[in-house]
Amino acid sequence: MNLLDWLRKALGAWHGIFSLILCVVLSSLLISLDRPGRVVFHEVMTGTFFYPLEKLLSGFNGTVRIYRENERLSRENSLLSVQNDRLNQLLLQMPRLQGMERFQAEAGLRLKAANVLAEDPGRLRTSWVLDLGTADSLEVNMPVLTSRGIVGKIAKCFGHYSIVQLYLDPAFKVSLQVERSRVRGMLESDGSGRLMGRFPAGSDVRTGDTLITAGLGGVFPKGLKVGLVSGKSVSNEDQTADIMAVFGVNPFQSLNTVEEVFILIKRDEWKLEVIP
Amino acid sequence: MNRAWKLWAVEIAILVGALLLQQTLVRWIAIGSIRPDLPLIAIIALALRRGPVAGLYAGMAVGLTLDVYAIDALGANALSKCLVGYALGFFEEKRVKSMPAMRVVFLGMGFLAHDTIFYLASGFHAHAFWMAVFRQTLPSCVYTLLIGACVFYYTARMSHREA
Repeated sequence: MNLLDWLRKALGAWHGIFSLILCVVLSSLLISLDRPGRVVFHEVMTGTFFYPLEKLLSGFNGTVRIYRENERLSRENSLLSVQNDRLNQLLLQMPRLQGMERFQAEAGLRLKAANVLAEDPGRLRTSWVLDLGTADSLEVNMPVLTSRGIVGKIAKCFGHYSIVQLYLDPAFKVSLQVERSRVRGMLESDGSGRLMGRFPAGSDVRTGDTLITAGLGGVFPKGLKVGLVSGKSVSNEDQTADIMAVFGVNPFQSLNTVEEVFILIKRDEWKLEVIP
Repeated sequence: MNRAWKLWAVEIAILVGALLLQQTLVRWIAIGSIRPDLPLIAIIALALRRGPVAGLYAGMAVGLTLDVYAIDALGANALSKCLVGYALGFFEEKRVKSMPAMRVVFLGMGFLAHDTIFYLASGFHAHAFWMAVFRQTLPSCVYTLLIGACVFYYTARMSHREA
């Protein structure tokens, strides 16, 4: 048996050991390489065998990174949009608040600003919910107004919110006075969203007259603006036409655009008190 | 392609898949510097199925691939993985019938042996060696064993179902 045959037989029988020796020698050679040698090995391997793999991995990691970045940017975008909307609302609110502040200073009344939180979802807008309540010194029957005119009165009061009875509620009545002729009458809603002023027949009331509160009910003080007389409305069904003249009223403050209101802090002058 | 070649192709694909997952998925599931060693799980699973020589070559191939990107520890991965693959190959299915729980024990032993060889081959001495063992190897070993246990139980279940 010559050396080559012996080697072939040995490799067949001990291939595991030979493979182990080969791998250990190869690994040891790599371990024993100096720094420049290692860098050359790295560059040769990454530039040839591992190039497609690297491309694949960097592509995958890039996709994941872009996906995450996109997610983060989307989140930031939503947040900034919300902030932008809020700032826009504040910018729009500022002139209204400045107007209210001016009115408060000029009126010389004890007023408290409140936000409208909700409104009656019914066909007729009859009530609002405000964000102030008894904790903010609010009481039932306090007048609710804006710098343009009255809008209603406090009907119910809770700890931190209250309900306003609006002038469109058919049960809401206010004593009126024509600013020019000082004729007194009554403001009420006809139940269909229109305001009417009832005056004694033959009163000196003309279209375009300014109506103010008369201060007779004990709720609204005298002189608060209400609206303009828009024309006489004599209905056939009105059995009292010969006693009362009914006029249409255009309120100064439309309820559609109100977001903030004032509450006039005053005691109900007609409140019954038990005398001890 | 006959069944044997198909099996080899699947096993090579599993090794490549483990390498790819190690470079991609593992960084997302890592707890700080503690990360599971998926290629080692694949090497040991292969060694337990195919024997020492297959384990040796699988360890060498995977180790060399990892070494290409670890210039400072060049050769250490190849050496540690091929030795572990070779050694655990002696517990292959044909010689030792082992339950999945036993395979998890083999995996634990293999992991500890692998890291010990790796640290020594990389030139870790005394303090640095023990610091690496306690701070890196033991927590990573637990993490790897958890994943390895899932893999071994799943493969055992699949084999059982096929049988």
